[in-house]
Amino acid sequence: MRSTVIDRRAFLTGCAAALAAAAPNVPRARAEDALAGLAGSDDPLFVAARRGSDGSYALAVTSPEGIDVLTIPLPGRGHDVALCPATGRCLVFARRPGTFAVLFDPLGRAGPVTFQAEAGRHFYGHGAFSPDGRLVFATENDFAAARGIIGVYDVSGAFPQRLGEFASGGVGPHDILPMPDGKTLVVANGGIETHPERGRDKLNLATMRPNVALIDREDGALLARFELDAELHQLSLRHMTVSAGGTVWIGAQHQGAATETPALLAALDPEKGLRLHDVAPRLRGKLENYVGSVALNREESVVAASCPRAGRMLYFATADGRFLGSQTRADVCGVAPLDDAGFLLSDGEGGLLQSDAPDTAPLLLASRAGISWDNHMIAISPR
Amino acid sequence: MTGVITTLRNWAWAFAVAGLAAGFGATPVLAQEPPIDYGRFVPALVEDYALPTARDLRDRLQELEGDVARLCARPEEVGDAGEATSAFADGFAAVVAAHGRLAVSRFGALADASALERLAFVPDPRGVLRRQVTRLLAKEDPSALTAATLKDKSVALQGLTALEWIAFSPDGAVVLGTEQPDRAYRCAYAGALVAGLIATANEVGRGYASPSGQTALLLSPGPDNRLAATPKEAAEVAFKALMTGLALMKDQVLERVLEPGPANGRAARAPFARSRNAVRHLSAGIEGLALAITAAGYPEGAEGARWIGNSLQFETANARAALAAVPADLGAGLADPEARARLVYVNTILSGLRGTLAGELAGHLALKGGFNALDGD
Repeated sequence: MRSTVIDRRAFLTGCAAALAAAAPNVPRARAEDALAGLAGSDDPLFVAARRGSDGSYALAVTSPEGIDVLTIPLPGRGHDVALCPATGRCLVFARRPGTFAVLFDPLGRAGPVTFQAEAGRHFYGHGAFSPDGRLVFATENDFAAARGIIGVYDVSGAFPQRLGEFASGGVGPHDILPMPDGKTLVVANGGIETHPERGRDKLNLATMRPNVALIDREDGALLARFELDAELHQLSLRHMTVSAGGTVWIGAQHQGAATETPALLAALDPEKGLRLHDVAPRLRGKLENYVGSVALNREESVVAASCPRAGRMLYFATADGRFLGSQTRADVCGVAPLDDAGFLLSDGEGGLLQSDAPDTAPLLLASRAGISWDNHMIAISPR
Repeated sequence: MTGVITTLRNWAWAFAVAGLAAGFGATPVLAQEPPIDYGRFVPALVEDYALPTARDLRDRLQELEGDVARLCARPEEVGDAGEATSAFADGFAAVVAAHGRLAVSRFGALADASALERLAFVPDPRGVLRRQVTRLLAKEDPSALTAATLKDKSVALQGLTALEWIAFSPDGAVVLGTEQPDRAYRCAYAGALVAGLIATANEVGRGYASPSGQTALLLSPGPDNRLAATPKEAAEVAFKALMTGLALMKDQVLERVLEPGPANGRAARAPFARSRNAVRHLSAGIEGLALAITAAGYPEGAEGARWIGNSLQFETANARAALAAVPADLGAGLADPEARARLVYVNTILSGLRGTLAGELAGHLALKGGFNALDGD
């Protein structure tokens, strides 16, 4: 899941000490106030890319109420943030077809390090750390060959070094996550061919074949590949969250006709394959065929899926994939666990919202004027 | 055909913003109309709404600064303590109203450098302000006693909402300046708060008057402008901010206080309920919305949308008249069936306005919105 548990006392102590030394763009006193405000609660901090009031892009570490603890300017629009389970460092990737990535410490203990994709490659916005924190695996596009690849980087030194790459098992790899065994990577190959010279144009919609691939991170071997039925070949499988038990939940975006309204959430049990989970009939056809982000709550009882184009959040029971309910919120997309049962949501109008139950309106915690939170958000969850 | 599809997409967004995702009501505008002059909206919004409204807030704050000084003067210098207390309460109410008229717009200089949040920390459903101010008072933190050092502290500690917390008791009485053990600290903090608020209001006013930050970007769209490449995009940014302001009044104030439950507890959810200014702030926000939309001239931008300007004036006047008959003590109002019915009526008006503005007006002007929704991944 998109959350890492770290020791709360060490986290707060580390933050305070680090912020005393450096907290780019956030006054020290303000950051300390935000952290002191967390001391009496079980609230996590949240990390996400965003656009500011002047159109510039940044990475922000913020409280649930939107009080910034740390901000780092980005050279372009960011996308997802990967969190290292071993070191607590994070890596934010450029949104496709961007070529930058920024390695940073959300406690501000070290300055951010920016690096670029290899020539002939661009990032897809997502990456994953190895369990020991030494390696990073990034979804990339070998656009000359229209081939999805996983770039492998050593981030243990002062500057990330690209060690090599292996095939992603498909075209247009998007999200990538580590599986609980620590050895396997799961990759959502969205199936869509793009080329930077054509911007964000989709070049192969008639022939696309998305899949979810399991890959051995140590040698790049393709362990398994899962596809939906042939008639669903335009259902691009893009964003994921993984439970501790190894079930992969995948949010999809349909590239076919608007009149087609396939289910947009899939679950992968590596032993049984992919299975789709649909919303209630009254919502079919009202989701703009687009899921932007997925996340599990801390107790992993509920999986949430955001539909920014439809302005709607969806919730499903992880036990059986049953649809639990939905909420409306314009431009909602970022979603991360807030506590055992609930989620924090973010939107394109600066909103941060607490969602406690699938069938009640989320509670607005912050509404930052001029801020547009980007697609994804992760929780740094002290316990 | 492309035009038709684009129009329909714009309407899909409009319905989503309006909370009408199920879709109903008006038909997309497909008739031939003269081209829309998108370049007129933002300059008019800045000149005829933002500048005078920001100036008014600054002026009211400057008056409040004197009220705070009188309230916190040594007892032998105060003269009529009751008069000083009333003057402060009136001055605070005037500032709250001025803030409501401005804050609803959420664009330009207000959006820069957390200015809006520094003016007032709302919403705050989990009591961040209470926790932070309580901690501040307990520590008597000296770094909160000058505007310069206060600016670097949490935005929750800087705004009108912090001033309200230390100046009013839960039952709405003015306690600032009264004989409390921490009187001196509260008074010094109140002074720093008002000085900081004046500085922020000046900063916002300057941002509109000598355009900088987001205001400058919205006034000079172009291919190198990273926020607004065209006048249409600039108009969209400002319009979207206004619609968010409207949504906040409806969803986060009215709907939340009208939920079932103890009246006083529900009332406390509204900004400025502690000082008995919640209804005033809401009414001022509705007034500000009408002022902003009218000043920008959005309804005049398309032939078929001109009726919306009249409708906006009519509906907001009705809403404000209804609110004028609601007690300043919102808890009492919620407990009174007649006053509660008026609040329900205002909620209905705002719901209709949202459909009219974010739905029909946006459709007539072909305004798009969204960040993740427009260009996701």
